[in-house]
Amino acid sequence: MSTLHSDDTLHSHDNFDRAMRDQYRDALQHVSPATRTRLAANRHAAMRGESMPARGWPLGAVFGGLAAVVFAITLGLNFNPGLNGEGGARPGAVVAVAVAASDLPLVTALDQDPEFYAWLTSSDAQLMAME
Amino acid sequence: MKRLRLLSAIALLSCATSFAHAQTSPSAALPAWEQLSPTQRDELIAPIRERWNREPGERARMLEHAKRWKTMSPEQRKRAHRGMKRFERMNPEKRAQARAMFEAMRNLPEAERRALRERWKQMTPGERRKWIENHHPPTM
Repeated sequence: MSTLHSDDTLHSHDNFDRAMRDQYRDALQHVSPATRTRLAANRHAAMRGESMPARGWPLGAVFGGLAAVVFAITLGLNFNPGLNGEGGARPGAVVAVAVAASDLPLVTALDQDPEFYAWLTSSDAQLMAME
Repeated sequence: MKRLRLLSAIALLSCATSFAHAQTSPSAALPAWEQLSPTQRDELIAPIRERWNREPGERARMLEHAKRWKTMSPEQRKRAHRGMKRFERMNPEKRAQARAMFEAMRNLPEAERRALRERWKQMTPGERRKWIENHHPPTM
């Protein structure tokens, strides 16, 4: 009984997760390549523990980019059938989606020594997490 | 009769929609890497290309890390992926700590590693910060 319940919950979480990822990808399509590049650069610098020098971006451009993302997510949350459990990516958008989404993990994987990433799951690394 | 025609039309439309969806569903439409068009491949590797061109100083490191991924076993890769996610959730201070700890421990014999672990447990937050400062690793 409880297993059935947790399976249902898991399934609905999966659907929600998939739908959110779809929305995120859609949202990225509304951000200009220049903005994406800039955000990616900042992110990589942060991953390496560096701080990025301010380049005097107009505040409007930053808010404009963010607004596009938020707007797209909001629209998607209201209208995407994926949230009703249908899931599934829309046909035809696959390649463009892959480019936007892989902006993140694909490049992150090369940021640090993969042995370091693996070490982070070790008991030595857990020791730090317990502080 | 009219109703029958309407039902047939709906059924036909439904079949056509399913067929169209099957034809264009992502997994069915996209072939293996070798069969992708140059444009598709280009789009898929765009983030790497972009990063490579933007930061020439990072190229050697990126290449080195790519080679290491390649030599890892599936199990090691799985752990590395998990660690990568963990790393993404860490704040800058924790990241620095982790890097320092990793560099300090990676070549230590087991006995010394155990000793360091014990010492770390006894340290106050201030002592740990100091230890991190003294063991600041080179960029990986």
